[in-house]
Amino acid sequence: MDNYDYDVIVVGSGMSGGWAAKEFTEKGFKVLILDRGLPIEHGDYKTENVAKWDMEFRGQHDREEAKREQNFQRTSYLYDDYTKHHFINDRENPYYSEEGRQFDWFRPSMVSGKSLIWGRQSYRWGEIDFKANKKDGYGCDWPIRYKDLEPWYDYVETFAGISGDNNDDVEILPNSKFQPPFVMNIVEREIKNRVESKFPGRNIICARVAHLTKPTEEQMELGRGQCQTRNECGRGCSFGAYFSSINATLPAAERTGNMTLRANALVQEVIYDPQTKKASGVRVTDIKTNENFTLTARVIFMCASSMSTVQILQNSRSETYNTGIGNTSGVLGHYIMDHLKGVEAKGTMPGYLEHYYKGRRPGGIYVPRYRNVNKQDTDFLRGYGFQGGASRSGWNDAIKREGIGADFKNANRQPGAWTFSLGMRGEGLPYFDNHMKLSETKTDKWGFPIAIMSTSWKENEWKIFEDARNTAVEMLEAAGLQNVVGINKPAPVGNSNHEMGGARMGLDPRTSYLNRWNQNHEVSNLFVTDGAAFASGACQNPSLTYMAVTARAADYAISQLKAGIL
Amino acid sequence: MEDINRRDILTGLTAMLGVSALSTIHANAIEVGFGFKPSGKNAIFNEQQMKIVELIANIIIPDTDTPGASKAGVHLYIDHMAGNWMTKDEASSLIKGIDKINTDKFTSLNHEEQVVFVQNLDDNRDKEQTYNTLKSYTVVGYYTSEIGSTLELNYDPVPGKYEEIPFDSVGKVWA
Ligand SMILES: Cc1cc2nc3c(=O)[nH]c(=O)nc-3n(C[C@H](O)[C@H](O)[C@H](O)COP(=O)(O)OP(=O)(O)OC[C@H]3O[C@@H](n4cnc5c(N)ncnc54)[C@H](O)[C@@H]3O)c2cc1C
Repeated sequence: MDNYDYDVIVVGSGMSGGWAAKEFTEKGFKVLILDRGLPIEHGDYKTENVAKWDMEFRGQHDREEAKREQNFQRTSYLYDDYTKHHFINDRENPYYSEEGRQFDWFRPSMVSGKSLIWGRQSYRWGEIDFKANKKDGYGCDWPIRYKDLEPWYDYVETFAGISGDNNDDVEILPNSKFQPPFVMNIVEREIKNRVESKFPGRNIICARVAHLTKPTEEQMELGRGQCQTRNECGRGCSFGAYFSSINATLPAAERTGNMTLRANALVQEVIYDPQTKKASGVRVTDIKTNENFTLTARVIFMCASSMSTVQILQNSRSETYNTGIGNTSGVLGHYIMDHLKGVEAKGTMPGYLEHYYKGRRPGGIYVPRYRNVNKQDTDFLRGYGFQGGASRSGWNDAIKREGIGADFKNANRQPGAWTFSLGMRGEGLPYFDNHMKLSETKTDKWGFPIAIMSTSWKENEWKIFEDARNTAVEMLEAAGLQNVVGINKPAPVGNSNHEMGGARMGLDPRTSYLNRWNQNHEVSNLFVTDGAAFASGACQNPSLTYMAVTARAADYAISQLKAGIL
Repeated sequence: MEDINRRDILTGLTAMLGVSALSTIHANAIEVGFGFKPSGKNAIFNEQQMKIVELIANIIIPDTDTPGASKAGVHLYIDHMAGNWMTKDEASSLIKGIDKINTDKFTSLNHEEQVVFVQNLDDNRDKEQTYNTLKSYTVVGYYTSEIGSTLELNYDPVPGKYEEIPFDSVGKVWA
């Protein structure tokens, strides 16, 4: 290993970092994986299997405590007494947004990052997504195409386990290597038939989720098992049934004997060596002991989650690079993206009252993008899709129900009518104007400069919100649903949890930060493989693509290491 | 303020729906005894208030073929929430409201009269804030209790597969 502490340092142990660790260690390289989060072992999920009556407030979080400690994280839809310890402490880890340019930044608190708490919706991006920037001129052209990623999707899906329906045949949304899907219920099938026959080009398919429905040998060897449809995933799953780094990639890396994982390790900067013109290592603070230290490696993989990765890179200043390592282009911190969220539509389906279900599916249905697919059919660019599903309400209806006594109690045993709902995820364009920078004066208690976010939706996004609401309502009404309501309450940038951009890939070193291998144009041993690398955002949930991109970049770096180039 | 209460409860509910326990199911659970075991921490109701809350909760959700609110310890749950979860303002307005119910001599009525009294409150829910709060908490407290979840409703902590089934095959909603 010459003079290096490790072959590879991976910053971040979540969705992307886990893959980097697995790929390098399996090829025999010594990897150090650093994470600011608290240590956690697979199975070490303190609220899993705790009945609600054994929770102090039956699962509701203490509002005063949440306001004090996690004033922002508490706004996550997932945040409650069961999951709150998987979110970061905002008091100790503040960030700011510029006035009127709010960015919602949900951050994890543990090793394995947001892969522990994600929603597991997993869709490939297609050809149309990688060509979008070139076609309409927003953002820079992606230096890769679907074909470049396709084998890597196959590869990561086979290992991670994605459930979905092989019969899907949607032009712009390639199928994954599927395990069997969670089936649609009768009401969803009926709505699918009605919508698809009335709106050619619109499809309703089974949600694709990173859950094992038919575990492979490889998955079982790692101790992972079949999904039990408890739908309590945010607490952690000791069945290892949904993909997270803690139950899949990190154990795979661990068993090679080549991985060292260090928790509580806040990476503050990547160190640049002007002699070699490479990154020599990272500067780290142990958040428990406040000890500062430097570690070196031949290759650095940045996988700290898009905005955190950019924060570290912007803080990596030297005489050569006074705005951040490898940032001659000046694009570092710009072109930040997220998915549009906040449009919903729902309605009730009359009838089907004799039908019910058992189990709590992790996902219902998905409506792939249908706008601007083969031709420009709207006055905005790109498009949106919907997640959704049909279900029947339970005892919570009793809160509003009138009546008392035995009749009331009996009524509460009956499920409510079927309701069907759709929630939109839309594509936000990459804008230079959407950016982040570091505070020049304020740091957290470990001396790490605080990030200042500055983002807003613009005209194209407002049009998408409007159109999504209208077409969602139109589909629900055409499907015969009653009491249809459409909601258009755009959430701030960041709220959909899909932070992307800030260190984009591109063909031209003057306008992009990374090349087609996620390698910095200037500092050749510095790679960024989380969402920061993305040149556009598509409208599909991004994590599956982070995995594929990371595995592909690791494979390239491995070949360069072997060839003695890195 | 009642609105805030209600909204928080509803938000919390999403989190609680379908929550379950693997470790806590044992065959003899019923003999072992259910009911909310209060930590007693910051208990806030006096005896009289506790009595009123218990009576009202048990009229809203009485014993039928399954135990009702009182046996599920719903009054203790509400006391616990009032003392530890509600804001001071929320708790004190609840307590004032409960005391007011008593100035109407609620406890001295016989059972039938109490039922009529509560029915009347229920008919005027929109105006009866204290009752509204008590009812919401009774519902949540009961259906998230061990009795409410496992005896009254259908408790399925580890379903295995997602399947379509006829409603008749289970006959009641999932906990
Ligand atoms: C509630 C929720 C639901 C979601 N649902 C979906 C979904 O359905 N589908 C989907 O595709 N995506 C979803 N996501 C997003 C998904 O979780 C992320 O896209 C994914 O985890 C990002 O991977 P990552 O490796 O970039 O970051 P992470 O998985 O967050 O890992 C980054 C790691 O880096 C560490 N780190 C950060 N800063 C530093 C530092 N300075 N030094 C050292 N370590 C650091 C963090 O502690 C963390 O462990 C969801 C997210 C949330 C919160």
